Formats: sequence, C-alpha cells, structure tokens
Amino acid sequence: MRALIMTHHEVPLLERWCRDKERTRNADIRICSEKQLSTQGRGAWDVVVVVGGSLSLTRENVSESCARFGWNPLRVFTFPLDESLIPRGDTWLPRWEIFFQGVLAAKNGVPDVKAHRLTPSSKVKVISHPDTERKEVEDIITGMRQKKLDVSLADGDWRIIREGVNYRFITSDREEIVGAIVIVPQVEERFFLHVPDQIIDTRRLVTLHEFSDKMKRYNFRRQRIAFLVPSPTTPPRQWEQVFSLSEKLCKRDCAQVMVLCAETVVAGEGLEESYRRSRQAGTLYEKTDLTRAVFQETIDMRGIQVSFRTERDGVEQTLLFDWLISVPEQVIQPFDISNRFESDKILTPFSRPANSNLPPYSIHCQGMFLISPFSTLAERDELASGLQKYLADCVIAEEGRVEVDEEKCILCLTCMRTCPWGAVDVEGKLKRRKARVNWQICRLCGLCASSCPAEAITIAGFPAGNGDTVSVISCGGEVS
Amino acid sequence: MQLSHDIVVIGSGVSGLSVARGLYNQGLDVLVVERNDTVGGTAWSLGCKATHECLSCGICRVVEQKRELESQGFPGTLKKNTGISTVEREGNGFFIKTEKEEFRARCIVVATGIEPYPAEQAANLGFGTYPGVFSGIDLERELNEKGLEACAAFERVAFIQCVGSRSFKEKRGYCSQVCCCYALRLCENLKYRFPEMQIDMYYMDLQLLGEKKDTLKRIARERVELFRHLPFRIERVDGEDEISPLLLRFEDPEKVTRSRYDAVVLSVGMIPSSGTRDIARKLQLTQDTNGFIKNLGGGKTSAPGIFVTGGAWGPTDVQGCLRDAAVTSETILVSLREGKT
Repeated sequence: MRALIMTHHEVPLLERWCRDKERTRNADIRICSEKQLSTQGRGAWDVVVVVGGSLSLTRENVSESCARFGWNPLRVFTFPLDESLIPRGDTWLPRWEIFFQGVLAAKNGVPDVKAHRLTPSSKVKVISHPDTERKEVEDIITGMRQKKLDVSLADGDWRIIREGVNYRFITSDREEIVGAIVIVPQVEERFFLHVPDQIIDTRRLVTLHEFSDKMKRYNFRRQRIAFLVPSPTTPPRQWEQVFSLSEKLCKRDCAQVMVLCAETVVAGEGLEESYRRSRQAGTLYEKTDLTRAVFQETIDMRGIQVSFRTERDGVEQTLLFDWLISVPEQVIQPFDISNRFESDKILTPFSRPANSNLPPYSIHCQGMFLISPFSTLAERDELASGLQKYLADCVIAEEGRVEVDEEKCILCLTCMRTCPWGAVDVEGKLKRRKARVNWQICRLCGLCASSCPAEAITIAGFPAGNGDTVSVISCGGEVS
Repeated sequence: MQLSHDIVVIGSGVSGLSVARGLYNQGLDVLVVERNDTVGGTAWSLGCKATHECLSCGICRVVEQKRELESQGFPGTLKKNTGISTVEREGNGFFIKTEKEEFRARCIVVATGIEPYPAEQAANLGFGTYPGVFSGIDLERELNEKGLEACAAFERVAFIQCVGSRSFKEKRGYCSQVCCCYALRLCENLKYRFPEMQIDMYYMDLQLLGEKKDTLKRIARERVELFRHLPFRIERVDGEDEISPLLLRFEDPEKVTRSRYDAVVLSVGMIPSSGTRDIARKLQLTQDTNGFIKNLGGGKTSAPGIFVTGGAWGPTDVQGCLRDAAVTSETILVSLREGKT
C-alpha cells in the first residue's frame, strides 16, 4: 500500500513513526511538506493523510491539491496535529495514528472488518399513491414482470417494518418479506404562472392536456395560438408534445403558433429534430421572462393580449392571441409513508442521493426505489435492470465496524434520533443498557459518531467526534 | 490461429470496459479490441472538476475504474493496436478478421464512443489560427495536467456554446448534452481560481442535465454573464492596444457593442468517433442522420447479435455510459440465455 502524509512542516514525530517498520507494517509511506508537494504529490496514492495545524491547510487548499494531483477526494483524510491523545488498547495515540492503524491492518486501505453478503428476498412490492393513475402503475408492473421480477402491487392498508436488508410488508390479512420496494408517487402538473381571473373566465386558457383532446375534435384554422412555458425545468416529455402539436397546428390548420418560454429543452433523443421540424413549419419561439408578462382580455372576450419583453433584444411586444395553452411542469408530490413505516425516525423518501454507486432510481433508504408515473419506457427498463442487479448482487454489510463504548454511553438516545436508517436501538438490561448499532442496517454514514455528545461511538478506523473524516465507504460494490 | 470468444467488445472506453466487466463477472469469455495503443478512450484523458464542492462530473467513476483494472486485472483479454477489417456472419456467430489474426465470436458489442468535434472545421471561429482560442476539451485536459495556471493572464474570457452541435447545416442536428454542463464546470473552476476573471457565455439554450443541475444553474446565474446569441466570426485585432485582442462579431452589428476578449473557449459538441462511423459501415448497421448507430432499445441494433452501448448510439456523459453499459450487458445476457435454450 502506498500512502502519503502531507504536513505543513517537517515533523520529527511523523518521521520517526514512518521509519518504524513494525508500526507501519512495511507499507510505503512518504512524508511530504507543502513545499515539496509540487514535485512529490503526483502519483497513485491509496490514501492521502493531511496532518497539520497550519492556516494554509484549509479545506479549500486540500481540495485544490486533490484537483491538482488527481487524488481521489474520498481517499483524503485530514487530521489536526494536536497533542491530545486518545486511548487505544494499552497505549495512548494521536488521532491520525489510530486512523493509520485501521488502514494498515487492511489490504487495500480499507479497515479490516468482516464483510457479509446479505441477499435480499427476490420479491418486489410496488406502492403507489392512491391518486396515481392506475394504468401507468400497471404498465410499470407489467414492464417489470417481463424482466422476470416477482412484482406485486400493494393494496389496501399496509405497514412496513425493516428487517435487515428486507422489509416485512404487513397487510390486514397476511405478511410478506420483500427485498425491494418501488414507490410510484403522484405527480402533479403545476402551472405556477399567475393569470388574472378575467383571463380564466374567457375560457381561452387551456392546459396542454385539454388542448390535445380539443385538437382531435376541432379545427383551429387560422387561429392565433400561444404556448406558455414559464418553467425552465419543464420535462422533455412535455416539450415533445409542444413540438409535435405546434407542428401539426401550423401544417394542418395554418394556425399562427408562438411558443413563449423561459428555455427550450432539446437535450434528448430526437428532440432537436422535432424542434427543428416545428420551427420549419412556422412556429415562432420567443424566450421571455413570463412572470413579468401582462395578460389582458379583449372586450369581446374572444382574445387575449399578451405583453412581454423579449429576452434577446429587450423589445416590448404586445400580441393578440385566440388561445393560450399552459404547459405545466411536473412536480413530484410528497407521498409520506413515514406513518406506515413502523419506526420513529424521519424518512426523506424523495431526495435522490448524489452517490452514483447506488443503483439507479434509489432514494435515501436502502432497497427503496422511486419512479415517476410519467417515466419513459427506457427509464422503466433501467429501473428494472437496476432492480435485478440489486436483488442478485446482495447488499454488503460490515460487522463490527461501528462500536459503542459501554463505559461512555450515557443513553441520551441522540444516535437513535439522528440515524437516518434506523439502525440504532438499545440493548442490555437496567443499568447495563447501551446503544447498539445493527450492522445489517448501518450504512456507515457516520452521523451517529459525529453527533454523539459523549464520543462513545467510533467507526473503525475513524476517530470519534470528527464529522469531516467520516464518509460513506460502502454502498454496494465488490468486497475484495 | 483461430480463437473463439463469447463476446467481442470493440472499443475500450468507459462503456466498453464496464460492459466487459459486467459480462466477465458473469463468467463469459470476453475479448476487448482497441484500435489505439492506450486503453480508456475519451473520458480517461479528463480530470476531476471539483472546486471546494463536487460538481458531479463523474470522473471519479473513471478513476475508480482505473483502480479496478489495477487491482482486479483486465476483464477478459485485451488486444491493443488491433483494427477490425472484416466481419462475416457464420451460423449463429460471427467470423472476425483483423489485420493480424482471425477469430470467432457469438456476440459483438460496439462501444466505439464519441469524440469531440474538431474545432478546426469551424473556420470562422479562428481555432488554430489565432492564439487565445481554445476548445473546451483542450482546456479540460490542461486542467487535468497543469491545473489552469496558464489562464491566470486572462481578464476577460468568453465561452461559446454549441460549436459543432445543433447545426443542421453541418448535419449535426442534435444536442450533445454534455457541453453546457462541462462549460459551466470549467467556468466555476476558472472563477474559483481567479475570482477577478470576467466570464461571458454565449449560448442558445442551457441544457442542464444530471444530478447537480441546480448547482449548475446557480453557477450560470451568479458566476457568469449570459448572452443569448452566438458570434459568427472571431477576429484578432492587432496593433491598437494589446489588451483583449480577440473580437467577437455578431450578425446584427447595430445593436451589439463590440465584445473583446483575451481568450475564447469553444464548447465543442460531441460527434460519433471515426471508429463508430467506420464500424457502422463495416458491420452494415443502421445509422441515424447524425452518424450514430441506431439503438432499437436496450442496446439492440438492426443486426441480431450485434449490440451497441454508450456514446456510439448518442452523445452522453460518463454516468450515462455506466448506466447504459448496465442495461446493455443485461440485454446481452438475456439474449444469450434465450439463444441457448
């Protein structure tokens, strides 16, 4: 293993430590000061440890060095060079040395812990919001069945209890163990632009959905039509509809079509092509800040005047339209399952983790997946193959990685409240009670260790009470 | 000598390697064929673009892949400097001839990828003629190798988007999907190192995708000045004053004030690599109008037994490649299983 220690100046203590072959276990450890960094920093280091107290060793400097020398930021650890020692076995050691001992004991810079593969149950449960379109949910399920997944839809009243890597799914008449849960939330179409009531009274402002129905029945010959797309994050799916509708209107009905939008989205398969066809057919695209546009109905209530300022050259324009079509953005509605989840922790089911090691569409809760009912076929395929991989690949849990010191634990239950996975509970009887971390559920996020007021929780290899140095190490992947 | 393999992966970029890894782990005999003498393709030459926060450029996944190669060995066999000359269908499999040898395979995976648009072709933008005009990819490579120190001298920098993409004249009527994001990440890197620098961005529409699109949107709003038009020519003014010698010219000269810059960065789009075009012709695969190989869903191409993954069927970023590789290897496994029974 190769490791680099970066410090602010020559430290005799560190040098002596590096020469001690017994302690370093013959690992290739280099010390390098900031000045030598430009010559010695480059290289494939397994671990980079920054030990220092100088002002120049700030977070920013360290991350800049990461960028400069191509270090993996997840493999850089910073420690203060303080004199306070922490007991470890019989001796007292500084924090960085405790870290190193953990690292050196392992093969590839990962502390030596017993890793287990836990295979989740092969069953998958789909839970959907009661208001979600039934047809879409059923489509998702049939898509997954084609990929030979054992999927079923949750019905009626249900509760979930976490059980290791599985979930116990309880309905009124029976219980089931499922390995993964797919959540299909309700997606609301929201049009956040404020339009005066008089405009709505003209009944000339219709939603995209209504309008595509109208298109089948009516002819909009030589009418003036405007699509309003106020949100820059309107999904590509809606844009595809706008492009095709506007093209059809121009070609079939000789209508005058204008699209007023904040931003056009063309990043998608074939979108640019349909955008071009729509423009060639005669649709005008104007980018403008629609929140500042003024809407006024005409006296005969048959048309609406829209005044806006174009973004490109700042010209004030007032145009008369017969129809306004509101293109809503799609917002995932909160679908709170925490009251169905038999535990007292806070669940944030709808934030997507930034960790790209996780299977696609996973959320901040292992084994749960989230997919929009308006997802495309490709997205559903991706979810299905991700699910297959998740269920076959097993989940890796590491035993004995998180330790609770019985002597120090004051039973304040802070860890129990902070743990996002619900991995902490209390064990023991009467005066011997202490917090216990369930290694099957623990995801090594380090929140409990950093929030423990008594510094009783340690993650092996990482010092307690320092939130900076703790990062998620294992989220799927291989155990070597 | 004739050898037989289960899978032949053409191209050893990010997607080729991850497909190979996925199939190799399933116990299949994989051969990776690479035309050049280096493994890794486009993405391996790029570097991490984090400032004090991660901008999720996905390069760390590439670094991880490199480590995986070192620690676990290459998935299957690798043949460098091997170009494919002919491919013939033989029963259920293929008979592949290269310049040196010939072998059989049951499936072919095309992972020949994308390459940056050669900015020299946009002659009006002065790339290659004037010093101070860079392409975005060059700047990224410099960031990786030297760390942008050379940019310290610039006070005013312009980024020009959609160079070589979204232009129907050049038959590239598609959005490359990566250039807005990498340009904004470069902007943030420049601003982070040289806070005094003024950065203007000339663009059509901002296409922000991926996980950190909110961060990128914030960068676009706060750190750079946005202008919604593209210059049709870049000229260099010498003599008058030495400061800011590059002059951008726009189509209507009445309204736009003269914009002068020290450096201009062309955010070049992604085009199908020469290998992709070559292989598509040799294997007689259906291409779309832009030269990418047509994907009929899950990585299947118009020819049975030949699969496509990653950048070869559409421009995408590293994370897209990895996800697509997972989907493709799944499809291949399913089709192999069905073929057996």
